[in-house]
Amino acid sequence: MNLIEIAAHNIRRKKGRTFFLISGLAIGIGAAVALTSIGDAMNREVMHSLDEFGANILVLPASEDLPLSYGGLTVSAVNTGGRMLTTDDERRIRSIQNNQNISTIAPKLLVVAKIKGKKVLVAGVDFGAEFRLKKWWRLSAGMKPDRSGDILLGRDAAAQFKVSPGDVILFGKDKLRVSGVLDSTGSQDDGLLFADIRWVQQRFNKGNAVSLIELSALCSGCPIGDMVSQLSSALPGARVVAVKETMELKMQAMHYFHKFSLGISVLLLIVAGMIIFFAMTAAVRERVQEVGLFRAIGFRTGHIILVLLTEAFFISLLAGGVGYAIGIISPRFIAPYLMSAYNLTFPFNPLLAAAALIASVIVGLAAGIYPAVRASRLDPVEALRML
Amino acid sequence: MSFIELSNASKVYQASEDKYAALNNISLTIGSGEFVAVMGPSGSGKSTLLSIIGGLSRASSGVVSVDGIDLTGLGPNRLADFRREYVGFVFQSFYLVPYLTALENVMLPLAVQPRVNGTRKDRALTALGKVGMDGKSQRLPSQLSGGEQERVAIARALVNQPPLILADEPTGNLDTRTGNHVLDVLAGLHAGGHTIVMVTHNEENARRAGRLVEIRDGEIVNERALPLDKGPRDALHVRPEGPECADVCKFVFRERTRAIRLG
Repeated sequence: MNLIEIAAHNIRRKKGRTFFLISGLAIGIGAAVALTSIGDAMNREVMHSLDEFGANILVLPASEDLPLSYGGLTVSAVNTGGRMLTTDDERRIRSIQNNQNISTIAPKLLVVAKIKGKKVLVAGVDFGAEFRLKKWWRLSAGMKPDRSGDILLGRDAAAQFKVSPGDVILFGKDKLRVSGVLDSTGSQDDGLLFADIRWVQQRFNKGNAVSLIELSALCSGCPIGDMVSQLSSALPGARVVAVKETMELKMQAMHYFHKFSLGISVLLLIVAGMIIFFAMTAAVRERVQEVGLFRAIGFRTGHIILVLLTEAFFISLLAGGVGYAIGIISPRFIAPYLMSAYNLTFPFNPLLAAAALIASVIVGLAAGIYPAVRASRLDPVEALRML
Repeated sequence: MSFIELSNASKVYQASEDKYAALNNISLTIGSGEFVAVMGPSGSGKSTLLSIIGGLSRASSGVVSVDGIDLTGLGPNRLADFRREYVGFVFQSFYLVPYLTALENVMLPLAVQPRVNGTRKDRALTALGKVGMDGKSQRLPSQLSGGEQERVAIARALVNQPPLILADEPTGNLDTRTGNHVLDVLAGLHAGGHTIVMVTHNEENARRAGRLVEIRDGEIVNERALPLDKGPRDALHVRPEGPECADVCKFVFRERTRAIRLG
């Protein structure tokens, strides 16, 4: 018989009270874990969607000229001074340390051409990469280009040249087939002609030069700043820019979910802590005589506190485990009904499990310390009189 | 040399502005190995006297010392150490912990004992054996009769081998026959060398002691030596194997070799 065994005995004796305490705290912990899990899962999902939703890093030739605007994004002046980017740079981009975070590399060569006497901006692109990058692109007519001689037009450009899918546009001697027309994007893309980048390089004698490279980086698991610096090292003479708007949106989304789940979790833990506090205060009141006896037979104040806090520790540890189980299992059943729009996954998270246990024990001990200290200070004579 | 010494000890309780003197300038000495009965009407201060001798509460004024230790100068934890090392309490209401077995109840004082000779369980079983309860060591208090519960409480009081046993109306909740068995146990402990101070209402029970102290209104009004009542002791020897006395008569209190001095 030692102090821990005394605590364990009391836990076993008061099964109803123990069950109530464990349930109260476990529900609080479980709800907090569930919220955190759902928050994390939604965060991952949103981050993934955002990662796929356009470029978040631009690679530009270093230039001292004033920047131009492209696609709603501010880019450096192209084709002037500095080292031109080339399609070989794609290989260098792939070589950076965080290459696994690169989702899409979309090089572009921008040239000005004259068609039917009118100047037009032609963007040489890799159609596969471009469609992956710009998931908002929709064809209003025709189909995606599938060969080198195909051309894709923005809605305004198609209207201006009065062409539709199947029509042929002459570039000097070259004949290009209009494969499709983009639906309105509300961006500069509406006035552009998109052609295969290799054809543009060849037709305009640009060798393997590119004007800029857009990257979509999956940055939920990496600091974007690190990637920018890695790319800058890999591409000397180029300017690498993180597109702040996209990143800020991502960070905002991430912080929103974290703050929301954290706030609710803290609230739930406070409520759970209050349950423990009142239940333990009532339990101590119920055990005044027992505490008086312990004092009478030589238990020091520290011994009494230790017995009562050991009980709180075991109860809260168990509640933490049960709460984590509730919190990690319940979203698997709830999510399909409440958040069917998301494809959420809830993998075992050892850090969250440890946090649940630690938080539960902290709440349990914090709620138990006042009743324990109060009990330890009971006058043994007064306590024994309370029959 | 006196083992317990009270010099002008008073205990005053204060509720808001009302003061009540439970003990009023009491001076008393009790020698080592004495068996003293304290008698008096309800509210006379008997239990208060026991509680300040046992370090459960502090005298408001005066000096209370046990074995040369001035209890009035000890803090709460030092007083707890004193109680653990020096005192075994036997209460009228037993105060057994209901969810612990008889054995576990007896082991309780050992739970906070820094050093124990032998295993705690063996010590507790030995103590239970002294009061004839070793056969029921695994029973919960609710499964024991009143007399058996009191004997378990006595085993708990002596498991630490304290020199001083303080019994507060130990037969108060028992019928006469069972009460006599409990008194036999206390007499056996006295024979083994324990100093015993027993509070009682019952004059017949008081005759088991060697000295009677009578208290009234917080003051000692009479103090006299008693011839030890041989009746129950003889009865004890007549029935040495009786279920109620068991090994008590064989029990010889080991010489106190406690080196721990408090204060």
